[in-house]
Amino acid sequence: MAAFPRHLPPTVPTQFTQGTQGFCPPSVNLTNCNQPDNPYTQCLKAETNLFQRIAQDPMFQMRKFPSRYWQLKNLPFDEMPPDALRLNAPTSAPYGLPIASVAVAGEYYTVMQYLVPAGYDGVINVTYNRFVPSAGGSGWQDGSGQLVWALGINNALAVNYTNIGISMGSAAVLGPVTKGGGIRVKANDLIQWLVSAPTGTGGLDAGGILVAGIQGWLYPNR
Amino acid sequence: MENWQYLDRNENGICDSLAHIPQNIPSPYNFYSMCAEAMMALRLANNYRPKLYCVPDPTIWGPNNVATNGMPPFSDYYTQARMIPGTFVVGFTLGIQTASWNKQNNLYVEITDDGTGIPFFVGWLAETQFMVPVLYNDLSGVTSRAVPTWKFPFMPLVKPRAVSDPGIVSVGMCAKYEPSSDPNIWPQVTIVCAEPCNVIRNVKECA
Repeated sequence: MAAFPRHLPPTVPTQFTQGTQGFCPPSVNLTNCNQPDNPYTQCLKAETNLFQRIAQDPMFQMRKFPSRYWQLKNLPFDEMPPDALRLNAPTSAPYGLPIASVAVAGEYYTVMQYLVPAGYDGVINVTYNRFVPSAGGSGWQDGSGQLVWALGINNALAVNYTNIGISMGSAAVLGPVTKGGGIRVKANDLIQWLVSAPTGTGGLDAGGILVAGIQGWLYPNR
Repeated sequence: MENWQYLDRNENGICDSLAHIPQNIPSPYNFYSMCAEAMMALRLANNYRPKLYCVPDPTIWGPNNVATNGMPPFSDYYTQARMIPGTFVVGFTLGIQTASWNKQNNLYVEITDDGTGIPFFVGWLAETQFMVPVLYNDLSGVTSRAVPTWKFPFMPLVKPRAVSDPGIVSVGMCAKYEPSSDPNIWPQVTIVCAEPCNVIRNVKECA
């Protein structure tokens, strides 16, 4: 292949033209886009087209997984593969210890903490977070916003799992393994259920229990 | 296409654009020189035009003189930018616009190509300013003029990253901060791109 010329003459338009596209607003058509592609543009577009062809190949997605998953009908994060492990990480914590004893309104406290084991990636498809008052306890109304929950992954927040002001899910049963729609997690990810009392801890049952957990599956990533 | 042409590329762990030259299998020894060549090619190419995407739209957060506007601490925001496939993302800038701008590593930013799911950038950032507004006085002590120019550094990517079809770039932000003590923020990421300007797509939308 012939070497590219080191310097090319600049493509200065001799006059302002509307361009053959006809739809470009004049403000962005100040550069003449109708010149033939120079070798650098041709090279970049060839690379882009090649990348496009590779990225659209279903094998491109499958190659990111070990060969044990290549024969699967669905990707291991889409459907629980046969060699996956069930993920079930429930936690219950006394309300008085993480929040009421500290009593800083609006601060987030960690209720549940789970570290994805090395060698496994996974999917979280069931989450639950509840506040269980003590027997005879009062002062708690679900959905009142007295407690706000958030799911954190690696100190960032999971998409659309923030500002949860209601109790969600049930810890009484093991949730279903649904197909698709979970939160993908990677090895060594730190999963946290966080809770705060935005309006202060007054009026909440100090003897209550915070219950939170995640369920899903883990699949070997090698 | 034969499988071997890109299976080896993936074995080397590099799975995005500008590394798929069959004669040059990327490795840790030649990867960055290839990145430099890619930047050089983009610099010398014609038929690409600069384009900036401000994400999110400034109207999302509202005016920053209202304390309840903006992005509250400990919340996240995800949106998408629509680009022409084949656009190269070459870098970005970040502005947060708040009194707590100097808090370090409190804003999580991720810029991801939806077509492949490959992130262009992921990390915790803080707003960095080269210059802050200063009120200067004249010789008589009268405040004469403010210099409201804030310069945010341009953070280039290692190499230009091609946006694949259908040209959707997801931008996510996650504010950490302290909910009880920090004010809302007004973050905006400016994605600096090189757009192929002789590609015709969606003509009806632009008519």
